[in-house]
Amino acid sequence: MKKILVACGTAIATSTVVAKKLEDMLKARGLDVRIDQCKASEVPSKAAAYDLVVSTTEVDGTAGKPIVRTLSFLTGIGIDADVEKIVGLLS
Amino acid sequence: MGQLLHGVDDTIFLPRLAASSDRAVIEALAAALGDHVLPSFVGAALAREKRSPTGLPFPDVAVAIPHAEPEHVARPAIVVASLASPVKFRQMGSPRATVDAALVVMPALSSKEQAGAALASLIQSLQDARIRAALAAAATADEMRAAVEGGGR
Repeated sequence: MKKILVACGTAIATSTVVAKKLEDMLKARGLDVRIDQCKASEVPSKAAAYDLVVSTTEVDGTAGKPIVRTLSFLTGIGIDADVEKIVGLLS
Repeated sequence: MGQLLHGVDDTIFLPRLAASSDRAVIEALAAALGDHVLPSFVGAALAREKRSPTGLPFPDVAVAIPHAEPEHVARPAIVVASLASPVKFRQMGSPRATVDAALVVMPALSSKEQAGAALASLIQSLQDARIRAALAAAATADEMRAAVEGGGR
């Protein structure tokens, strides 16, 4: 199973919304993923264990893992293009 | 009670709040949360906004979602405010950019399992331009509640 790390400033409000929306949209495409949340500041030390990072904010490094920085899972704007990109990066 | 309130004790609506800065908005909304939050909440929310801004560039009606960590929360609640005049918040993920926020949502979450669904459904509602417009135009708390729960219809 692919693993995605979702990051935001406090790892509670924003990333919870992003993780829920991302999980729903990937499930709708038949993709079963594991999603964990963290603070942006924790990404450099945690990213190595994941296939992909999705963040609403800047991070200081992703241990070489791909990152999608987007607000689309909050605003809805451009969300389909981001889901395509994420599906591509996971396959 | 609509989906907005799922998992959250209280949703507080503040229509046409007059505030001159993002700091003043955060202070007013934290005060509106009353004993849902600890005295440390407002300082934590201000620090969080500085470190990691929360302005979201929705078209027409931008929204900011300032908040603080769960350890500053006593009981979960969400404040939804419309502003008498838009206030600049720095944009989430792009702190050099600003948005002119006309709506501000301050979630006070004590655990993501409990309250995340409420915030997620509120954010989902805010993705509807009609709901954003209705919330921004509402003159009373009851009208704001109706705007969210009526799905903008």
